[in-house]
Amino acid sequence: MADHLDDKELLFQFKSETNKEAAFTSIINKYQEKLYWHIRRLVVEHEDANDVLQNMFIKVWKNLDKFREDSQLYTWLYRIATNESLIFIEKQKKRHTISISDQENNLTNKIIADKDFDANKIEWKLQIAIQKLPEKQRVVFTLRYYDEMPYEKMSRVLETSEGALKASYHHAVKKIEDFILNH
Amino acid sequence: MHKNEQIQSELIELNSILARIPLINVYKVPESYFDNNSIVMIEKTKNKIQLEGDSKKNTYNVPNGYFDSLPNVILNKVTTQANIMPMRTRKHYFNFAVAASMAGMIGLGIFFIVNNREQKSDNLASIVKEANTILKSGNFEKELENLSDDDIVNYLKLNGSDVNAALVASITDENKLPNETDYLYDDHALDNFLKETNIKKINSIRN
Repeated sequence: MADHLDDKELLFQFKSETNKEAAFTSIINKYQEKLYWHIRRLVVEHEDANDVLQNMFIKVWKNLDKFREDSQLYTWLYRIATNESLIFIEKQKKRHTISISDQENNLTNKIIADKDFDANKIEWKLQIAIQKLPEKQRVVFTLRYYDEMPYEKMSRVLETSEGALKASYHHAVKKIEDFILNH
Repeated sequence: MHKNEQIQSELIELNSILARIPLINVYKVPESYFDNNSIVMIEKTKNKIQLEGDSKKNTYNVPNGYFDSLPNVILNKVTTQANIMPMRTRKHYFNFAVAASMAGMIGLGIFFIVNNREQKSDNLASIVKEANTILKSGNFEKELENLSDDDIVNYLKLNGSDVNAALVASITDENKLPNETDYLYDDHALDNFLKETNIKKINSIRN
């Protein structure tokens, strides 16, 4: 099946048993990279991001029939990816019984452990600064800064008002700036 | 990577140094990770769904036609039991009280029977032996009838038991006990019954 079909058509095809797999393959091809990078920036390591991405697509497969088309597929997928990433981080916290500050360090350590890590490069400092943010601000910052998501769409993904998201993003930018200047 | 104009102007507006930092993706993915990802993902999804389905499969079997006949089997049991089961059931705690009192009565009965025969003997072993002989020979009821009410009352008083409860238990005709509906209609059904029984019978015993 061609990947050029729009979401509405893909959803229609998914509902027919004969085209189900082909439609799902097209959905994965269309969104996997964007969703992968969104997840990766939250969970840091590739293996973790891969696990989360696979789990989220399994959930998508199971629930796509029930998807209400009054919201966009893109918004819905981002919401699942965000939730699955946060659930994954939460599970890791519980598994290792670590506190929130330890969790920040845990993610920071994963960044430092990256074979390409260079403490002198500002782009790596930026990654560490992002992991120091509170969970919600981290999600808002990555969706805005990297995924370039308009507030209006982000509002539907995170079910938060645009005003609150703008405030959250501005706070996050300020905190990141402080971190970069002081480290 | 190029920054979106809107994002960049927002950062400039905020006067943030992020506006001067190039947008660089520091993370890497294994080579050709995205190329076959959809195929891998479909396979994994299928496997996972298959595994979940397998784990929920029932490994136990039931005899052929079990569920077809089950409603009739249950209905038969229910209707048969409905025919033979008495509707009247007594409160459990009252049953326990009566049972406990009866057990006390049997105990004290044996004690008095043995005690009457061997007035002066303090030998516990011989008392127990005598009690066993009575129980084995089945003469308990007969021997118990020989005890006076005063003996029983005195025994209960000496041993700290509830004399009234024991007496009520010993003189109660089970058929005259309040039934379940009596308790439903009147919270004081049991109290009234005990009060009435105590007054009448104990007075008659004492007189």
